[in-house]
Amino acid sequence: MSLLKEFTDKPFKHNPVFVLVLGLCPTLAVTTSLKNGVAMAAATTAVLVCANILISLIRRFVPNQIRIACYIVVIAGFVTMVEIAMKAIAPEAINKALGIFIPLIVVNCIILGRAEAFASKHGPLASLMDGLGIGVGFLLALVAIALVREVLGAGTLWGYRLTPVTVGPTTVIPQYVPITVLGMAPGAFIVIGLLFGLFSLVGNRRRDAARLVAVPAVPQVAGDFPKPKKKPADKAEGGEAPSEPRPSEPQPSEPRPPEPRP
Amino acid sequence: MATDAPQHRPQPAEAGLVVGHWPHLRGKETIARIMWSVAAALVPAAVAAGYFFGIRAYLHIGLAVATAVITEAIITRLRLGKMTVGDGSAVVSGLLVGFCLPAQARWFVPIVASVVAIAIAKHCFGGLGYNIWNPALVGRAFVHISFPTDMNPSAWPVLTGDHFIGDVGTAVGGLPEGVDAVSGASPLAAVKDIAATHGYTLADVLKLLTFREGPGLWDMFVGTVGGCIGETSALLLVLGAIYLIYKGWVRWQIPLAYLATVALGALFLPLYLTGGEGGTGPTGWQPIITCMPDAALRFVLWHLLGGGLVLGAFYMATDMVTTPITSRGTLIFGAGCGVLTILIRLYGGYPEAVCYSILLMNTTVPLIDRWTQPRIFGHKR
Repeated sequence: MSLLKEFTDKPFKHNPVFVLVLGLCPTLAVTTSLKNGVAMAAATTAVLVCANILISLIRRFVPNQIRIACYIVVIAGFVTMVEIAMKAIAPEAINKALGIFIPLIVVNCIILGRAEAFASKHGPLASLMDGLGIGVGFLLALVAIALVREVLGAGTLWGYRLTPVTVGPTTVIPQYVPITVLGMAPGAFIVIGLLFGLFSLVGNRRRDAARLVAVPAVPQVAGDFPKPKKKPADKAEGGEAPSEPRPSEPQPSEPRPPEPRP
Repeated sequence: MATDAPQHRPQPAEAGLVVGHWPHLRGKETIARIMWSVAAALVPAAVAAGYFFGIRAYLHIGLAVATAVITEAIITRLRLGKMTVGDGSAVVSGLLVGFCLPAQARWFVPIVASVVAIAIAKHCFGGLGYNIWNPALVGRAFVHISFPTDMNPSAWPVLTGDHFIGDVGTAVGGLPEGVDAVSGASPLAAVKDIAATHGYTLADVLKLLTFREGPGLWDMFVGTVGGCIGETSALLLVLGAIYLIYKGWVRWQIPLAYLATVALGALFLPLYLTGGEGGTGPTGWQPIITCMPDAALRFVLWHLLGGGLVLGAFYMATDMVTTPITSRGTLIFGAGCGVLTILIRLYGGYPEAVCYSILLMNTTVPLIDRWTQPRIFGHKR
């Protein structure tokens, strides 16, 4: 049961991109299209699962002082395998687009981070579930970002061009004009920033709802604007009607083991 | 009303501010008063834009303002639980967005620019008073990268009469037939083209300066030249700005430093001269002041009046939120904008540089503010 929880906790509550904020470099770079994002997530997940299992198996033999070096060797081995496999299996276009980012999985902080924070402290089965969960979370994050960037920034979806929708002679939805900046580097930062905000918003709402605390769902601006007095939702949720907005909750919402960011 | 908190309690002071003991003098200046005054100062140029560029200019400005106001209303409702559209800041941002778009851009360009300006550049950074970059310029930069054909049209139409043309749905460059319109490169694009194709030959500089090609200085001053909707008429923009400077809401240091730096740069920065048609003229890198002293003044005026410099220097670089607080800081800020503008104009890839120079200098504002803290009386440095 707890093994399953290791998996189900990971994609959302411990999402590698939006919550742990790991592996941003490949996230920003490869999410220009959905295909690239999925391929990258698949490669990373494969490496992550294998490395997690092996590191979990050798965790008792590895001297503490040189553990990072050992982990890197293990990870590099799997990355080499994945890279060769992708060259053989994946289409040429994807290999070209991902390019250097496949070998760079070696230094991806998601993998080293999970090795250090989880696999070196848990058994192989738990580590397998952790790797799968984090991999699914990475996939979801990349798909979300790539979906926005590909559809809005290039006007395509999975490589297929969006075409105008016509009913008879009239055009219902005209040809979409791509906002090309979203496909470029600045667009990557804008999209990921907005999605970060969205993820935090939903996460905070869920956390607050779980605690039955009626905190207005408003970002705590640094005291410039008067806080909203009271929301009708307060009564429905909290039962009590606080006359003053509650002080903002302490930022780190839940005690979590500190995640290293190599 | 049950949903309102009691009003008699004193409002808590903003974080980090100390309210002294009463009695207090209340200033009449409010955000709304200043913002609506800025909007009013922009109205003459907006009205004239319709005369220069036709009905499309009004439609673009209208779309930009409407989108900005609606975006602001929705976001402030979500973020703060109340709408602060009435303070006019969204209207000013929308006006400025509309001003720096070409009239023949497609209809969605002002909408995208306004949404980006208000939602991303302003509210993602904390709303009015917290934004790092000028919202209107971020919106412009966004669409400038995204829709290059709309933002850099090969021909900029200028209407010579009071012809109202086209509708917002017309595609780029789709001027109806039979319209008495003059089209040509905008002044700065003309300079850039010559520079890009064969460097500045002496003959080319002469051609530009005698205005046998392209518009004359008077046209550039009044506004009957190609360009973005609101940027061409230096006359009307300066008139509005004088009112704002008189009221003290636009600090004169920024436009002065900005324009002076651009003028000095145009005078003293070397151009690459290729000897003219017969190869008889001066060659190599030479500033205009040494190779053609009698034409230098016109070259400088060309750069001062061309492009969006007047609009940028008086209305965008002077935005209260995104500029330094100290007087020395504003001078440094203006000079920095000027240096970047003239460098990009003379040597860079874009014909116009006002937008990116101001955005780059906005980024440095916290540093400038820290460097130029005035010495407190009685304190040693």
